[in-house]
Amino acid sequence: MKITLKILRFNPETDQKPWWGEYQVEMEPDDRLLDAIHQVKWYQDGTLTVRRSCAHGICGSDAMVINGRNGLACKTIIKDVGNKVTLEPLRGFRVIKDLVVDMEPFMEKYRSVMPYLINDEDPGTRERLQSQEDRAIFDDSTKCILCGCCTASCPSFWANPNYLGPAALVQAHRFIFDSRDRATEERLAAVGGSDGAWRCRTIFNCVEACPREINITKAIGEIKKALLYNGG
Amino acid sequence: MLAEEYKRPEPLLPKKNWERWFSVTKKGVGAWAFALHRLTGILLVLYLFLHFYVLRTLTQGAAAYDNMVQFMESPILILLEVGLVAVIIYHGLNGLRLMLMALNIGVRQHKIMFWTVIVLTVFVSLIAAILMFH
Repeated sequence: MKITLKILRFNPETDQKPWWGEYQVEMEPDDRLLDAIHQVKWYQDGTLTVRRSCAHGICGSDAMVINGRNGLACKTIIKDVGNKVTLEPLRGFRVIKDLVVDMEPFMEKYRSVMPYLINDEDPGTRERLQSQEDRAIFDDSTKCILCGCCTASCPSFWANPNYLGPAALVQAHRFIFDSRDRATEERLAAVGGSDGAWRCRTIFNCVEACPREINITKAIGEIKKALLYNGG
Repeated sequence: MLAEEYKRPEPLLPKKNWERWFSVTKKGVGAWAFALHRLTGILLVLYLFLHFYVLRTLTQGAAAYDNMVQFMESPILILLEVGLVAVIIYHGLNGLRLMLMALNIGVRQHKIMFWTVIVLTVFVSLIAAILMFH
């Protein structure tokens, strides 16, 4: 099937403002959108810039706005998006070139919630054991691949770029509710500020956008509840 | 770090601030609920001042107030009042929905809760319309 890709292009070296490039490619209905972008880049216009790494929905580097909805190009099947596809870079981040945005502010917020296990207790010669029930509590938030689809779809984040955003809160949730972790207080303090969890207005755009189908608003709700009961 | 000499554009966003809040294209139920909530909230604040303005006639004696009440009985104003009922009911009920979600209750059921709010709003507004026009 013949599909038309309409891509928002921008090269900061030569362009004053973004412009729409249109490309026609011949694809199979079962191909992925990323294959279509490759067709354009490899055979039609080599200057098109896109970021991807694993191309199998795990590395989270090819998040973009597909027909007005955030998603991963590598997980989107051509037949699901029709034969006219509009591609834009993620909203709310600075565009480096074409579909590539500057994720550094996003990663800074990710680091600010201390996304690693903090536990000074000596586990002895064994692993730190955890029951299946305790593991299940934060199972949903372990699925996050940091693609940024959620944060870039969040009106609270658009309105206030200092807001931690759904992704960082999901990462905080992953450790706050881990029974092996000992830094719950510090982490709740990190997400309890005026730019933290309470900026979530339960708009659910993040849940619609998440390619890993994480119930992000639920995770943020659990953080809010923990903040309430911990005097945050 | 990336070469800083490149002049980077501003983040790509809907241009006007209100568009960021109200743009609902390709968004889910939650975005609609949020946009409606904010819109009804603004309308209610504006209505509050209108309400004070109408009550002002109370200070101008019985005749002025009766005059105002008579003016309020025109069908167009009754229709606007039905709209007011809808706005109040939606904002109030959706406010309850938001409070529940802030307490992490029924987050998974948020869509059902939104449609319940809509159905109740329409239902109550219809009853209000029937009562007011009789």
